Amino acid sequence: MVNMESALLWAALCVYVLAGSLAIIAVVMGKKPERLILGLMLVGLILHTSAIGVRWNRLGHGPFGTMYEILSSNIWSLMLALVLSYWRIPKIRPIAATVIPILFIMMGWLLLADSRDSTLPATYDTIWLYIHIGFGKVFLGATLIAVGLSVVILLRYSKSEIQRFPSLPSDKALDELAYRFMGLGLIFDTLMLVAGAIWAQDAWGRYWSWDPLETWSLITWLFLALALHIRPLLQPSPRFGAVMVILVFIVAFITFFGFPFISTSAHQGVV
Amino acid sequence: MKLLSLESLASLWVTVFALLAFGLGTVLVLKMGFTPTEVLALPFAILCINLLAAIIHTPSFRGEWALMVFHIALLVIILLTGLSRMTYLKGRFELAAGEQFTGRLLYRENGPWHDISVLEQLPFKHISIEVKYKADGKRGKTNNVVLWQADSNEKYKAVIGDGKPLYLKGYRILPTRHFGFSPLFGWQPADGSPLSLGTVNLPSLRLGSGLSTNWKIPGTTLDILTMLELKTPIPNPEQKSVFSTPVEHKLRVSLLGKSYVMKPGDRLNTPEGLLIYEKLGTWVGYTIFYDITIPWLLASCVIAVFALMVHFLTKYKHNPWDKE
Repeated sequence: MVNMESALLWAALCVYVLAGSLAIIAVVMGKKPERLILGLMLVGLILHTSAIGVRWNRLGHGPFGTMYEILSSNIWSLMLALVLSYWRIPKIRPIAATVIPILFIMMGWLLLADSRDSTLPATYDTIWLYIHIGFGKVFLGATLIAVGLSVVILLRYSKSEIQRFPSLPSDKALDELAYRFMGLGLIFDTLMLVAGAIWAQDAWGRYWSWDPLETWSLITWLFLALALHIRPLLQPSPRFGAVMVILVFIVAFITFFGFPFISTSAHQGVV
Repeated sequence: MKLLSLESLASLWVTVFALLAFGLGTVLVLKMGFTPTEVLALPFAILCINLLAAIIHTPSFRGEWALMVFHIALLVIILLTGLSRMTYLKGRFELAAGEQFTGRLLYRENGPWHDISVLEQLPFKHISIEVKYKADGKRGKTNNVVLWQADSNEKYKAVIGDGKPLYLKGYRILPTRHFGFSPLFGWQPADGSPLSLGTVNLPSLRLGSGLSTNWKIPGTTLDILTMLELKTPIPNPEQKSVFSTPVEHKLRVSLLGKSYVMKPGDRLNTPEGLLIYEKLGTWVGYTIFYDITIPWLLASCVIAVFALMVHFLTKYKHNPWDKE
């Protein structure tokens, strides 16, 4: 079963890499193999889902314990966010070329992470775990798409003779769409915090305890709220807006992957 | 002039400043160990004034009811958080099997409006604890039996444990991961004073195999080292095990430079009195929590998120990029 799980994961990662490479080549060469890229991403997702399913079945719990599991499940959910936006908003499909490199970094990290079996504490045996993590994944997925749009805006500003991403809408329209994804992110980030507080209240008898991950989640929320308030206040240029989006994503990324990496458990000291 | 000051209080610059101060406050709490209430009171107060001024003054809110509801809900959340800080209680205590809760806490944190004396009247008794361990030593389910009394004076037995607290007069009582063995001793002073009973809580099982502790018999000069040796370890890394009593064991007691192995019922004569080992029991650590604002906070959060969703859905009906 371990071999099958490993083989499925490797196959998924290879297909993701193929899809991502094609997306980048397509942007550089000005081609549009969009159906092929979407198909490859879907195949990758199916293989990845199977790998996670096999591990889930073998260990009796979902991918929520170790850094390896957190990375794997987040690559899966971020890829799903990309596939959904790729499918539903055809106008922005070339952003796959700016989003997938972020996933490549996570895939490299996943391959270096310790894949040994994990156990989850009894307090993780609750429906709130799935609700909390699910909202978190939607938040990060929305922010990732906003980052993809923002990278396009910033690349267009870089000095070059080549006209970058000509098939994509104007910077203003991309900025507007990125702002919407950030708004969606704020809703799901808030829901993640509320669901986490309910779970913490159930499991440990307090809804907030200022542990590092909780505190950084709050800082991420504040940073996101700040970025959204700066927009009507300063009416910044698309470039400034893009930088804000990327900064919010960096803070969120550190919160999601930095603190579980430093501590041995998702919420240090409470399990 | 009044309108001008209301306008400046409602300014988004104030919002940005308050959010930055809030962020800085959270970093201070995390990194410098400041008390959250002290550090965050000012940003919360600024946000509160800013939100109130914005709700009254900002013209765009009047046309966008969902955004208005969202900000009112945020204001309510901030006010409820303030009320929560004034009235909450958070504490920890330990009880041995059969022991009644007397209101004594090992650790306590509470708001200034919380009446601590209420704790002494909480009719709650710890009966027993059973914790199952899997073959790999992983902790399984906790079954903690307690006895509590309703306002009608009727007594009820309840099994609480992981995620299953006991709610009593607004307090939420939950066993923690800290539990262990506690030998029960009797002490008969040499001067003929009446026999007294007391338990010695050995270190939590979670802290490892060192099941020994130093203690002093109250009212004497006798220092005692008590060490528990179990026939099979709990948790057992090789097979399933259960933390409960009775359990096969030896109790080693070091007193006045000599070491003794005691069984239940054994007695030890000392110059200051008679030490009797009665039986091996268990103790468990509990957390106690009180916050009347929680359901209201949750309701406000749900309303805030729902209003924000409606706001975004109505605001973003058009897709400007489709025209390009």
